[in-house]
Order: sequence, then structure tokens, then C-alpha cells
Amino acid sequence: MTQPRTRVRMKVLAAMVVFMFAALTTRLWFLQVLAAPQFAQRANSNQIREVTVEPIRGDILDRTGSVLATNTSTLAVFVDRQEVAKNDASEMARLASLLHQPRKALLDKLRSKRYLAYQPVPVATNIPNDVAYYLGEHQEQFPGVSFQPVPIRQYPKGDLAAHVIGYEYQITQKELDSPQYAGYQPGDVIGQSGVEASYQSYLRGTPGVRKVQVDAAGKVLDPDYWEKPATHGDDVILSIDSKVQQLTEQSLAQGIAAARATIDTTTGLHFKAPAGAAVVMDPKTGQVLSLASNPTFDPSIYVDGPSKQQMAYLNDPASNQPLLDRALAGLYPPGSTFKPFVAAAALHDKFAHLNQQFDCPAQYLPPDDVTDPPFHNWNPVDSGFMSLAQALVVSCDTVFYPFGEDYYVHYINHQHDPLMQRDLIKMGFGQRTGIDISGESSGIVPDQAYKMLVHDRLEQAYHRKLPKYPWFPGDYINMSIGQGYMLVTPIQMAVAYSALANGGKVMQPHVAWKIQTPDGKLVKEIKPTVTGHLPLTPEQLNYLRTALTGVPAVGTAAPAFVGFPLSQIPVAGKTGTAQISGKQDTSWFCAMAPANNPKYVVAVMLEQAGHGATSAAPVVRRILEGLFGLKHNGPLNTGSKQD
Amino acid sequence: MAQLDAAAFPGRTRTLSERLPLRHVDVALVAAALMLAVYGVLMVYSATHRSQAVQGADPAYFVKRQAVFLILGLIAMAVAAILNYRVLRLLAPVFYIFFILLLIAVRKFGSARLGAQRAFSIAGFQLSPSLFMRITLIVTLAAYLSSLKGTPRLRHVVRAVVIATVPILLVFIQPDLGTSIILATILVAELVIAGTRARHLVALALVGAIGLFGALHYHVIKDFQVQRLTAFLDQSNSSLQAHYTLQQSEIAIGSGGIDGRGYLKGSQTNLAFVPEQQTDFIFTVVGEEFGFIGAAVLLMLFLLVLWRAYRIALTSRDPFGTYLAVGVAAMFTIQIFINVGMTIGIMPITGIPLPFLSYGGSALIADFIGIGLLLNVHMRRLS
Repeated sequence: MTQPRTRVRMKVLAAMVVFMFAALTTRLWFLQVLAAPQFAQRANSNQIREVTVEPIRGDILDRTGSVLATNTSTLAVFVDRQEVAKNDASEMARLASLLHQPRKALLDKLRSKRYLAYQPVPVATNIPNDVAYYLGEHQEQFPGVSFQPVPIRQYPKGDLAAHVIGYEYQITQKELDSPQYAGYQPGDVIGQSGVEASYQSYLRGTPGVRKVQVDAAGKVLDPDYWEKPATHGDDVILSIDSKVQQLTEQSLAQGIAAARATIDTTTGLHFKAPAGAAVVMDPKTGQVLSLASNPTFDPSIYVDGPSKQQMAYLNDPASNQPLLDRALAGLYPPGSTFKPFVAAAALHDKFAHLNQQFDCPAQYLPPDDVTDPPFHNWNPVDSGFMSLAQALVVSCDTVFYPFGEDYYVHYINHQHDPLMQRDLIKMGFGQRTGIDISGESSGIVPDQAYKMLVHDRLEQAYHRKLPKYPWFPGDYINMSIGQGYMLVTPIQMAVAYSALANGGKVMQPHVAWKIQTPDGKLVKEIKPTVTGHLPLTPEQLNYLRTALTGVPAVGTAAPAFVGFPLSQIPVAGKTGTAQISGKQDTSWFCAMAPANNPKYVVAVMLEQAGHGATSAAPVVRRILEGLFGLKHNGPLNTGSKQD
Repeated sequence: MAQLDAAAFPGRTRTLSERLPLRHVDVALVAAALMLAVYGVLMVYSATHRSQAVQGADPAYFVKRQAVFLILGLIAMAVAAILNYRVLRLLAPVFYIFFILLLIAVRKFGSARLGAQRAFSIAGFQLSPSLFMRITLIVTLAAYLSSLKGTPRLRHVVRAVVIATVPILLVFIQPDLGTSIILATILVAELVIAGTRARHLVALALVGAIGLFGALHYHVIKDFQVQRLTAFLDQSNSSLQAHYTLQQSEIAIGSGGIDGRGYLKGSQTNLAFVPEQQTDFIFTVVGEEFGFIGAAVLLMLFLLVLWRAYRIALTSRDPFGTYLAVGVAAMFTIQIFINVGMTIGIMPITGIPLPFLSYGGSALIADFIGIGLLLNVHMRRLS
């Protein structure tokens, strides 16, 4: 038996053992009872990785249901980095040569941080079938390399309505930083222009989440652990009619080609006619039926990213900026197409009356500025007295110059009150129309401040001091015929003429009509929105609209409308020839038809294509012929040389 | 002897058959050890079947081997129990020298694993002499200390320390810090029970502390060992593998909650988040799959073993038996405390297996030999 001393020491040791077990139990109690929920959560987050499930993007359809943008599938090659990591570099070299990619580019894609370690990385899309067959048959040479169909954007009608549809491309860092794109990740593909961009939130759908179970090495054990499926994006139905769109684009292209074949008598050279824009609008609703900007582009080049040649073409100055939507973003002086609105302002401010007679001399000398050279009419003869209507029909500049002078007198007598500018802004000029495509310019209704801004820009551009001038009578006089500092966009002109057509309502134009789910449930309808009013009485409005019917009938556009059945389909319109220093004239024609109850408003602008009657009016005529189902005879002819 | 027996059991004298040692097998001890080992087999399967299957290997590979080890362990236990332990007093020096030589040999011929050279590879099995060195040291120290008359003098203490220090240093340089700690604990426990004077124990503690400081200062302890040792003190730096291990270990145990996630259902276990899970971190499987209840049952089984060892030490007929029992108890206690403690973040991470549960033949057989020795002492308390 043991000694008493030993027994005491045994008890001490036993107590130590009990203490140790108590310590273990206490700690276990803390971990497994008190802190268990946190640890359970950490165990869960340990084994679960979330992968975003991309939704299928909605389609873009025209008003008749014809598909303008949809998705198709293409074969993409994926590389599972975890499988390849064990392999040598030669596999990737083999893959690079098979895919005709530089090896470095391939390896860069594999280093992408967009994909988590266990997610296969797409390294090539749109691969030819024979490459896929080769990969399938030589799987042993390419461990970790697979191919499968992935959705890509498809534009079945090619470049038709490209500026309306827009294109999609990888999200930029700037976009990622903006709150508008919260929830997007680097590498996401989003609409970058047109409807693809402005209705991105509808088209995109809602991404789903798939949880995959991984082990400690990050290897995926259960790829379908849990899934919240993505919601298909909504379809956007445009107010665009693809037939009208095609008609508009073709007519515009024909007009440009015709202008290029025409000699500019001022320079003796052909018109350059590098570009143009055309808009067809329903004046009652603001729905845009077609919107064309020439030159254009094929949005499908952005599906794989533009190639070097495509990028070079898009950036080449000789290509005249195909990506620029001139109908919305192009700024041009409106020339004489502006006169109805100057007339409207003058009527409103009582500088003109409907029954008044106006003198139309060959030149005009403002009474307070007799020293400067006089302002000329485009027609170098004295046309005598005429009504306001006739002044519009023959586009007499010298009838309109005095209105500018009147506004200047008002400006001087009323503490620099910009009355004319206020009227024009009410009519929708100088501000964005609010069309549902981004990139729109607001146009310019110039004033003293703007004149100073231009002055400062010129000083900067020429690196020398230029004299500072105040707002002159000439500035208003130039504005009165749509010249000088006045700048508009083609869509603004379409909206303004729509207001003349629909009884004075300034409509917000839009290209989208309805948004609906893929199974046809209406999500949203874009209803007509009135943003302003022309400050005219119905009588005055009617007067102006009737006056404009004279332009194609007997006025400046008459040569362009020879043979057009105006008696059945009366057309009201106005030519414009806007001068830009250093360039050939900008050719405008804006029209509405049938004039008694307009269904369509057409606005056409051709850069450096001469007189409105020469180039733009024939394009409008061709579009109207198409819209009303008329037979047109032969090639598009340029009209006469009239304003 | 007869008087003493009569004193223990007044009113009766013993029959011959009652004195037969085999009639005095401690059934509770055997049952507890066996239950622990079976518990371990279940846990080894849970820890290995999934990762084996993922690699396309036999999911039962480890568990089959562990079952074989268990049978070998039971045989070893029987042998250690049947051979009269008093004979071991005579054989102790032979075992001691044999295993010291093996420890030296393993440095020359052993196979390296995880940065240490600890075991011989024999017919696909790893034989670690350091694990058997524990038993050898228990026996050798017990034999030496029990040969002393009265309270050990300083020179006796020094001799005992020298006997222990040779294997401690040999396993230390393998490096196997864990076994060094176990061996040192055995030494201290047996010295305490042998009645070593308190001042000698204090002096020993001082020498040990100076030795440890010297080892750290001259980088005798390898960097990974220092990192592992200190990881649990600074858990904010998660870059270290040791921190990762500790975090995953705590997540596994903590996520088990009170009643566990169910056998074979632990995600931390199945998905291999805890390294070395079938060996040193086997307790995390218990904690995750059987929860606090499973862990408590395990600790109770261990306590049962230790309580039996305590009883056996007290009832031993001779000091040699007492010292043997205390040595075995000390070996188990320090292993349990350090092993479980490191998985729950209250002890540093050192490579110490959990008795009976951790996968490994040498360890399991050595543990059962320890049980065999306890049974041996217990059976012969009357003879």
C-alpha cells in the first residue's frame, strides 16, 4: 500500500487533473453552447461560395413586333483554372494556338479577377464548330478546358436603327463607380448607348444566385447546392416601325449620295455631304417612328469587342463619327426652318399681326446700326409687300430681320430683357427634349452670356486677345432667320414642328412604347407627355400651318415636290439653308402631312449639302411617298437651289 | 501477506481462485479504453471517408487500418497485462537501452514526414519508437524510483532526470516537441509521487525553464514550432498556417453546438477544412458531429480511465505498481489536455495525438500497452 505522503500527493495530482478537465469543459461550453451560432455561420460561409447567375437579357422589338435585338447562343471555351493549375504551361500554349489567340492574351484572361478560383473562365466566345469538335475529341490534351453554349446579343436587322438600339459592352470603371450601376461587377456587359443603355434596368432582368459547395482547397463539390434563378429581362417594344426606319435610312442615304453628286455653285465643287439625320415622329403622341443618323454602324461589332480594323474605322476622321447620333447630339443652326417659330414669337409679342403686310426688300439695314453692311435676303431682288404667310412660303429673310430688331429694341428698353429667348425656350429650344436615349444635346438659345463664352473659347483656341462685344442688334437679327449663335438638334426641330402640327403641344419624344415581360405581361407603357406649349392662339397656329402648305406647293420646296399629289396629301413644310463659316451649307427640310390633320412630322438635315430645297426636301418627299404608300419614280433628284 | 488480506477483507479468507490475477481484471477500465478506441475508429472514418472518396481512393482505407491497429492494441494490452509487472523491473534497463538505440537509429534510417524524422517504415506501416519510449520511460523511472529506500536524495533525483533527459532530447531533435513534453510530464509526475522534496522539484523546474529558454534563444526549436506554439496567443494574424488551423478547428467544434451536426454530416470535417484531422485534430470531428454532448461523453470516458488509474495507483501492493500507474495516468492526462486544449484554442498547437482516438498504429498500441500495465498492477494488487 502507498505511503500517506504519497496519498496526499496523489490527491494533489488528481485535483490538477480535475482542474484541467474543468478548463476544457468550460472552454467547450463557451465554443459549443454560447458561441455556437456564430461558429455555425462561419462553418457555413466556409463551405458555400456564391456565384452570380446572369439573367437572360430582354429583346428589343419594333412596334409591329419585329425583333431588333435578341439573344442567340454561341460556343464559348471555358478554362477551369484549378484543373489547369496542375498542368504545365504547354497546355495553355496549345489552347492559344488552337483559338488563334496570343498566349499572353489567353493567360491575361485566366488571371481575371472577375471569376472566383473555382469558376471556369471564358477565354473565347463564338468559336467555330470545328474547334469545338477538336477540343471534344482531344479532351486528354486539354484537361480543365471545356466548351458550352453561352448567350450573346444578336441584332437580326444588322445596322438598322443602330443609333436607336445602341450597343452593349463591358461596364467601365466610371460606370462602376456611379450609384446608377450599384450591384454591377467588373466585366458585366451593359447597354452603352441607345435603348440598350436607357432601358438597361428593364432589359437586364434580375441576376440570380447559385451557391456552390466547396472544400478547403476551393474545389467545387456540389455545383447546385442552392439556387435562386435569374429573372429574364423585360422586352422593350419601340415606337419605331422598322419599315419606316428602313425607308428613312434609305431615303437619307440616297439624299446624301445625290448631294455628293451635285455641284455646289458657291465653291464649284461637289457637296461633301458627309452626314445627315432624319426623324419621323407622330406629332400627337411624341412617338418616334424612325430616327436615322448617317453614317451608322453595326451594333454587333461590340458583341465580341470591335476588332482593330473596326476600331480604326470608327475612330478615323474620314468615317465622320459613325457612333455619333446626329439626330440627338448634332448641333446645327436651323436656318429658315426656324422662321415659323420666330413668326410665332413675333405674333405672340405683337411685333407682327396676321393681317399685316411686310416689305421684302433685297436687303435690310437696321435703323440703329447704319454703318455696318446691310443684311441681305437670300433672293437678291426686291419682292415688295407680302403677308406673313407669303414671307414664310418664299422664306423672305428681310421680313424677319425687323423682328430681330424689334426684340433688340425691347432688350435695350427693358433692362436687357431677353424676351425672344424666353419665348424660344418655352417652345422647347435650348433644352433637351427628354427623348429616352442618352447623349442628347440641349441646343443653344444664345444670349449675352453665351456670346461671352464663345468669345472666351475663341480666345483660348487662337491664343490671342479678341475684342469683347455686347449683345448686338445683329445677334437678334441673325437669330430671326435661324442663324448666328442659334443651334438646334434635328430631334428638337421634329418636336417643334410636331407642336405646330398638333395644336401647340410640345411633346416629349420617345422611342420606346411599351415594356413587357417575355410572356407578354405589360410592365410599363410610355404615355404621351406634354412638356410645353407654343404661345399661340389656335387661329395663329392654324395660320402658320396653312402658310407652310404653300412651301411645297408654290414656295421654296415646290421644285422638290413636283408631281407629288399635294391635293390628296397636303404637305406643310419649311426649307432651311444654314450657313456655317468654313463649311458648305447645312440643308434642312421639316414637314408635316397630311397638313390638315398631320399624322407624321418629318425632319431631315444634311450636313454640307447646300440649300434646303436642294438636298433635304427631296429626302422628305421620298419618306412621305413611302409613308403614304405612293409610287415614287426613279432615283432621288436634288431639288432647286432655293432656301 | 495473509494478515494484510485479512485486514482488507475481515471475516473471510481468500480461496486460491480468488487470488488468481485474471479474476481481478478491471472491467470498467477495459470497457472505457475499448469504447474510446471504437469512438476513435468511428471518428477516423468520418474524418477520412470523404477526402478519400474525392481522390478516388477507398473511403474505408484509414478506418480499416485503424481497426487492425485496434486488434493489435488489444493483443498488446493482453500481453502487457498478463506478464507480471514485477518482472518489468528487471527488464526495464533492457527496454530502455533498446528504445534509446532505436531513437538514435530512427534519425539515420527513419522516413521523414511533415518536417520531422520520427518513424520507421515497415511493410507499409509507420513505427514510431518515440511513442513506445513513453511506456519505456514510465517503466524505467518507476523501476528506478521504487528501488530507492525512503525519500529520494538529490543524486537520485539527478539520476532520474538524466534517465528521462536522454530520450527527451532525442525526440526533441527529431523534432517531436509533443513527445518531449509527455516524457517530461511522466518524469515530473513520478518524481512527485516518489516523494521528491519540494525544493528539488523547484530546482528541477528552474533548470527546465533555463533549458527551454536556451533552446529558444539558440533556435534549437524550429521556427514552425515556435509559430505554432505562439499562434494561439495572437489569433489576429491569420496569415499563418497555424492560425488557419486553429480557426478552422474552432469553427468545426463551435459549429457542432450542443448536440452536433450528426455523424458524417460535419461540413468542416467532410470538406477537409481542418488539416491533420484524422490524427492530431480528431477531436474536432467529435466536437462538430457530436457536439458538446459528444465531447463531454468523451471527456467522461477519459476521466473514467484516469479515475481507474488513480484507484490502481492507490491500491497497488508496491511502490513500483503505484509509480507505473501514475506514469501511465500522467501520460494520458497531458496528452488529453494538450490535444483537446489546442483544438479549442487554450493550448499551443503541438503534435500530440489524442489517446485512443487519433489515427495511428504506434500510438494506439502504446496507449493499450499503458492500459495493459494498469490492468497488470490492478490484477496483482492482492498477490
